[in-house]
Amino acid sequence: MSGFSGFIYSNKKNIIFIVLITISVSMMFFSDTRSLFILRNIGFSIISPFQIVFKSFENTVEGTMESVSENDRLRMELESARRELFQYRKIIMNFNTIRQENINLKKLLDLKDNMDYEGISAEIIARTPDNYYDTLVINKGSSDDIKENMPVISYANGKKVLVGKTISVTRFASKVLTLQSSKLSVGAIITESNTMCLIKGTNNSLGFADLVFIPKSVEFENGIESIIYTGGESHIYPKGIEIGKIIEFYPSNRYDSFKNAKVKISLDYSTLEYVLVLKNENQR
Amino acid sequence: MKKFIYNILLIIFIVVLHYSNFLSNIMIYNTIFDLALIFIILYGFFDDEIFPFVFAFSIGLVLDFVLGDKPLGYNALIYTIIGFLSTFPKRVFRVDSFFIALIFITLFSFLKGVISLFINSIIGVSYNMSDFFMSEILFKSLYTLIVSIPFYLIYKNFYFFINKSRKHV
Repeated sequence: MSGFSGFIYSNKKNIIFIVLITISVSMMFFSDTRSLFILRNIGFSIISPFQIVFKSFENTVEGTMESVSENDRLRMELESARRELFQYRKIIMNFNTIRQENINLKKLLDLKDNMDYEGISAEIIARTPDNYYDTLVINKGSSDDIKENMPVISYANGKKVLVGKTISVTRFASKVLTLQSSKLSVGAIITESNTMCLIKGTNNSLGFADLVFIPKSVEFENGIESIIYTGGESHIYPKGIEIGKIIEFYPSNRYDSFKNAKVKISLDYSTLEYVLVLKNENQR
Repeated sequence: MKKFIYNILLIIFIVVLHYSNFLSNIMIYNTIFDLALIFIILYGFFDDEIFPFVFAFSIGLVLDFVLGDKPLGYNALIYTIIGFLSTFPKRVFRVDSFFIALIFITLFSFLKGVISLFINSIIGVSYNMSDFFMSEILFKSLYTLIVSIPFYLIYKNFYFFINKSRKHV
């Protein structure tokens, strides 16, 4: 017995290492089970308050630094903003007239508003450390009525652009799976040809995704940028939110029914700071 | 007990900082240095034989639990291997020598990239190889190496200071 305990003592390091490796490998095999998913959510709930505190500290420091350095710039901006405001006042008067006309015409045509969604703005407080921005963490959770599978959008160049969907929600934070992840697929429509297809993340390179199931019969004119929008066929994503544009078609075999294309996502995930979580009326 | 609490706080700090938005401002080639790896290697250089890879396993597990969309155990496995291997150089080399330490930090950083590539291929995660090599292996290792220099110097001096004061007592 003393020989055995002596063996254990002299090989303590190797034994502990083997045990830890065995635990890690076993967890990798069982990581899709429900209980581990719950454990992961608990871990996320514990760490998210720290992330929120760190973010607010970061914002305070950033705000202080900026306020010192930007005083002069703000004074100049104020002057130009005053001039612009005068111009905008004129434009708004025209805009109100046009909007009223638009409402009246819609009533005439009996069109129903497609976007039956209310937005909750949220700030990104964390990202995956991987270089592909698969998952983002936002500072709004179930306390703000956010649920799983809600569409998340942002604004780029004045247009609504799809970010992804919520996949995990705790009380004060939520995880957003982005189009960068290979786990996310979204029904899409190509505007030029009105073709329905599917867009999938690739994990391959930042800012790109794959457009799959494009019927081979559909032809595209060279030189025309084909913009991809959400198709609106699922219960999650509303129709008409911009996703990206086709930049090239992959070569396909002669007998394939479909062809695939590479899409440049309209959003730059590396600079994204704020998002809008859309609350579907049906989900509430 | 004190060491335990310090390390829990260190793990929380690394995890929160690691996933913080702030890091996106200091990214190089869309990649960021690996702070957890730096601490694991420093513990391996200066601490006892078992603690470095137990710490590595703990921090890997916390990283797996908190956010990663990789399978649970992915980071724990990689960091435990690195933590285990990082305890060996001090037997043969003088890790308190600045250049030798830097060489090993670079080697372990490369090794981590290679191990993660290997595990990714087992669990079926596909990557663009050239992108992966450039960002995860080359740039990440270099970035980690640069960031590790101040940490190494502070930790080494702190370690020798603690040992000296113990001898005086």
